[in-house]
Amino acid sequence: MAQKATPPRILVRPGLPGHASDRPGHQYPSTTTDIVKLLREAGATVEYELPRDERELVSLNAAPLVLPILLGIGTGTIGSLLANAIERLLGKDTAEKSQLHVRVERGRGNDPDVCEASGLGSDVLETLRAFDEGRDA
Amino acid sequence: MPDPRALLDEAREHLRESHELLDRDREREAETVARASFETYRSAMNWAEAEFRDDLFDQAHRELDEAGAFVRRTFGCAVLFEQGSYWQTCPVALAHNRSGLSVRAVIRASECSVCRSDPEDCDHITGRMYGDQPCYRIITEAEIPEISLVPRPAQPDARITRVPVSHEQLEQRLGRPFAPGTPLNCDFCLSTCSGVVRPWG
Repeated sequence: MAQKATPPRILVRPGLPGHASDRPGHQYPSTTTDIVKLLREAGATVEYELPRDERELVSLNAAPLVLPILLGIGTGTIGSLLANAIERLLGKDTAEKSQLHVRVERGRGNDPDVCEASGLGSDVLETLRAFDEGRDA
Repeated sequence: MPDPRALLDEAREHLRESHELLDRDREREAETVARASFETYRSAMNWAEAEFRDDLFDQAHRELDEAGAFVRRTFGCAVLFEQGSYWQTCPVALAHNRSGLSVRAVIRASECSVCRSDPEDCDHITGRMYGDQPCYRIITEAEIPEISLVPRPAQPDARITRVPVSHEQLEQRLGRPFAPGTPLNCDFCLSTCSGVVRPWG
């Protein structure tokens, strides 16, 4: 009998990749809301690290897109999950041509594996996917 | 979202109408309509740039320059003098600086354009169509701690609308007895275009 796959668990952490925060530890980029919905649509279990009343959403209205910081718990595919969500949010073509700021983490404890990238979308998306466990860097 | 091709068509229509009005000796109306094409061309450049459509951007830029030259030669162009200062307010000149404005906003309250609930509480996703309704976040309460100049604003039409022209520069170029308040012509569109300026490279 095949074992049902466990949905990936993702924790959404505060922070603005590539940008300084006025309230460190409390601010999320405004893209967070849509990215969370897209991750849930893809079957992931997604939670915020902070309760709602402690979260601040920041809209950074320059075209470079700031994405939320994601921690993958027990999942080796956090990079791909975020890359796929970005493409579904923007469309593949726009995602590849845009400037993106991302950070994903994998594992728990004080020393998670971290992938932080800023730059051209096509490069950033490739970097995210290469971060997945079992992929060649 | 505005389509740069539709904006180009709209701008061309303004110019076509201007020429028709000129043919009927309705010069004042012809000028008004021709000048209306400037903002439309500028917007076409902005949205083409946002969509990474270099071909459309270049076309809109070229046609904006041509429209500017037509208006300058046909009707003349004066530099605005207001409250003791000269100002460059012409969309043709201003479009050549590709800086835009970006707002950093801390969102205190917002709602979904489709269902009007808090976007965290609904399943609608920005950019998707739900029936004939596009989904976007309506920010109803925010703090704005910062406004920045950026190379690519997320709102492509968020641009500079006027730039002061320094009296000292004018005095140097025009010599004495130039006095502030003297009516000045703008000849920006009479020179060969040297391209757009991208302050960030």
